[in-house]
Amino acid sequence: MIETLLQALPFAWVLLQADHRIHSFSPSAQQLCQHTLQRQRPLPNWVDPEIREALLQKDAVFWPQQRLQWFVSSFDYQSQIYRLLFLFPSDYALQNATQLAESNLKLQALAHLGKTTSEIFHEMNNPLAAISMSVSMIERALKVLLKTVSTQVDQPEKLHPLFAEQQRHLDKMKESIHKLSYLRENVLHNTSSQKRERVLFWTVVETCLSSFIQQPIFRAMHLHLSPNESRQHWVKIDAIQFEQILFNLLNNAREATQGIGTVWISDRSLDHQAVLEIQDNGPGIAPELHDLILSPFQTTKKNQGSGLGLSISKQMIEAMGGTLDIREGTEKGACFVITFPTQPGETA
Amino acid sequence: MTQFKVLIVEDDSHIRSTLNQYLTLYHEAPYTLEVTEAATVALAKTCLHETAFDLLLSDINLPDGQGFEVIEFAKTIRPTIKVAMITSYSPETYIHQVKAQKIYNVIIKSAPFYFDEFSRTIDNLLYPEHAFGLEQYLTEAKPLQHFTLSSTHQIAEIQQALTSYLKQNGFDESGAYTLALIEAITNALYHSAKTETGALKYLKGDIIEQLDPAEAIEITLGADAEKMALSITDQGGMINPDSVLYWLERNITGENLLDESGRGLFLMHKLIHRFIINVERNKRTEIILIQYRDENTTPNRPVSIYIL
Repeated sequence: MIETLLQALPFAWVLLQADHRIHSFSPSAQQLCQHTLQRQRPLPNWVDPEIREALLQKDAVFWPQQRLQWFVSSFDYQSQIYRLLFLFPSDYALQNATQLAESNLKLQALAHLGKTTSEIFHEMNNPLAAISMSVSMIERALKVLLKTVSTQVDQPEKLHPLFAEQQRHLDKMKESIHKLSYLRENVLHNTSSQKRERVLFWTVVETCLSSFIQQPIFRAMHLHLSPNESRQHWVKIDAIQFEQILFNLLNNAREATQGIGTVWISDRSLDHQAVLEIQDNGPGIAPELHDLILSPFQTTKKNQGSGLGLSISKQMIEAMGGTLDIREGTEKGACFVITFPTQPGETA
Repeated sequence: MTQFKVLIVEDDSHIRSTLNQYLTLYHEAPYTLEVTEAATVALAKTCLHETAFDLLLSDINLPDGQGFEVIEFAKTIRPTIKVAMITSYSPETYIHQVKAQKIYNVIIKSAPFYFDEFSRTIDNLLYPEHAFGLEQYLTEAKPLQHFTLSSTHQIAEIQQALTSYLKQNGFDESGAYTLALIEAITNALYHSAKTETGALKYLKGDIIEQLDPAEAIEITLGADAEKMALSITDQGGMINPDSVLYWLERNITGENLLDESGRGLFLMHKLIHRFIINVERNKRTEIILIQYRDENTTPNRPVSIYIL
C-alpha cells in the first residue's frame, strides 16, 4: 500500500499544482497522468461520467487543457482524480516516478524560492533608496567641504587626494547600489505574472528579430534565419518576455563574437514541441559549464553583468512551460535550444 | 524671505530624515523651507491640525493606514495645500486612488535617487510656473535645438533632427523616444487647434498644410550629462489633468480596448522615464519627455502634472 501511495504521489502533486499552473504541465507529465488513468481496469462507480468519458478517450494524446482545467477547478472532480491516482499507479509511473518527483520537488522549491526572493527584493527598495539618498548627500557635503577648504586652508591641494579618495569610494558605492537595484528590478519583474497568449511561434520570432536587426548594437552582426518551411506551430507564451529572452540570447552571442559574429536561428518541431535553436560562431561554452551557466549568478564575462541574464531567461521560459538548454553547436560556437509545447490547433 | 511649510509623512526614518535634511540644506531657491516630519497617519493628522502647511509629501503604506487618508484629510482642512505622493510602488498599483483623489504628482523612491529632480518637483509644486521650460530640467545643458512646427510635412524632418541629436549626444535609442515624440506631436497638432465654435479643427490623420501662427507648436531638444530631454508646446492648454489620470487608469486596467484616444498618453507614461505635463489653461500645454542615460532608472514611473 505504501508503495502504491509513493508511486502516485508525484501525480497528486502535479494535479495539486494544476489549478495554478495548468499551462506548465509538461506534455510528458500529461501523458503520464493519462497513461496511468487509462489502465485496462474498470473504473469505480463513483467516477463521474464526465471524467469517465475523458479518461477513456482512446485517440486523445493529451487531455484537452480546458477540460483538465475544468476538472481541477472543481473540488469534487479534484478529489475524484486524486482517489483514482491512488488506485491506478502504472508501471510507466513507477519508471518515471523518481525522475518526476525530483523535478517536481525542484519546481516546488523554485516556486517557493521565487516567492521568498520576490518578497525580499521588494522589501529591499526602501533601504536601497535610503542608502542611495545618503550617498548623494555625502557627495554634496563633500563638494561644500572642498569649496570651504580651498578658500580657508593653506595649501589646499595637499588635501585634494584625500577628497578624490573619498569620491572614489562613493562612486564604488553608487556602482554597487546600481547593481543591486538592477538585480531587484529583474527579479521582481520576472516573478510578476506572465501574460500568455496563443501565438504562431515563428511569426513571433521573426517579429522580434526584425526589430532587433534595426538596433545599432546588432548592426554588424549577421543573422541567418531558417524557418521550418513545412509548418508553423501554435505556442502559448508571453510574447513580450519572449522578446526579452531572445534579445538576451542574441546579446550574449554579440558579446561572445565581439559584435561582428554570425548567428543562425532555426526552428523545427519534435514530439509536440516547437524547438528554436540559436547558434553563434563565438568561442562556445565548454560542456562542463552548461549547467553552471544556466544557474543564477554565473557568468563567464569578466566584470560584466550580474550573471542573471541566462538563469532569468531560463526561469521565464520554464514558467511558460518550455525549456532552455545549451548544447554544442555544429559550428564551434554556443547553441541555445528553446522548446515550447505546441498547442493544438490548425497549423499555418 | 518667503518661507514654506512642508510636511513629510514617511515611516522609514532614514528616508524621512534624509529628505528633510536635503530640503533644509541643499534645496536652492529664493525661499526657505521649514520641514516637519511625521511617521504615521495619526501624527500627520495632528501636525496638519496644528500647522498650516503649504506642501504635503506622503508615503502610501504607513503603519496605521494609508497616505491617501492623510492627503484627503489635508485637502479637507486646507484646500489650497499642494500634495504629492512619495512611494516605491509603481503608480499602476494605485492609479485608482490617485485618480479618485486628484493627486497629480507621484514621486518615486528609487535607487539611484535623483535629488536634482526632487528639488525641481518641489519647486514646481510650490510655483507651477517654474515647471515650464526645458532648461529647468537640465544641469549644464548642451546647446538646445528649437523647432517650430506648423505643418504635418515637417514631422519627418523633426524626427530626423531628434535622431541626429540623440546620436550627437551619444544616446542609444531603442525607438521609444521617437515613438513618444510622434505621440506628443500628434496630440499637440490635433487636440489644440479649435474652430470658433470650440470644435476640433483637425481630425487625427488629417494632413495639415499650414497651421495658423497662433496654433504653431514649439519643439525643443536638449541634453545634459545624464539625460536627454525634449519639450513639445502647443498654444491650446486644453489638457485636463483629471482626464489624463482617467486615460492612464483605463489603459492600465485594460478597459481601453475600444478607446480611440488616451493610448498615446499611456505610451508616453510607460516608455519614457519622466513624462511631465504642464498646463496653462487655454494658453499652452507643454509636454516634457526626459530619458535618463542610465537605463536602470526604475521602471516605476512618476506622475507629474502641473497646472498654472
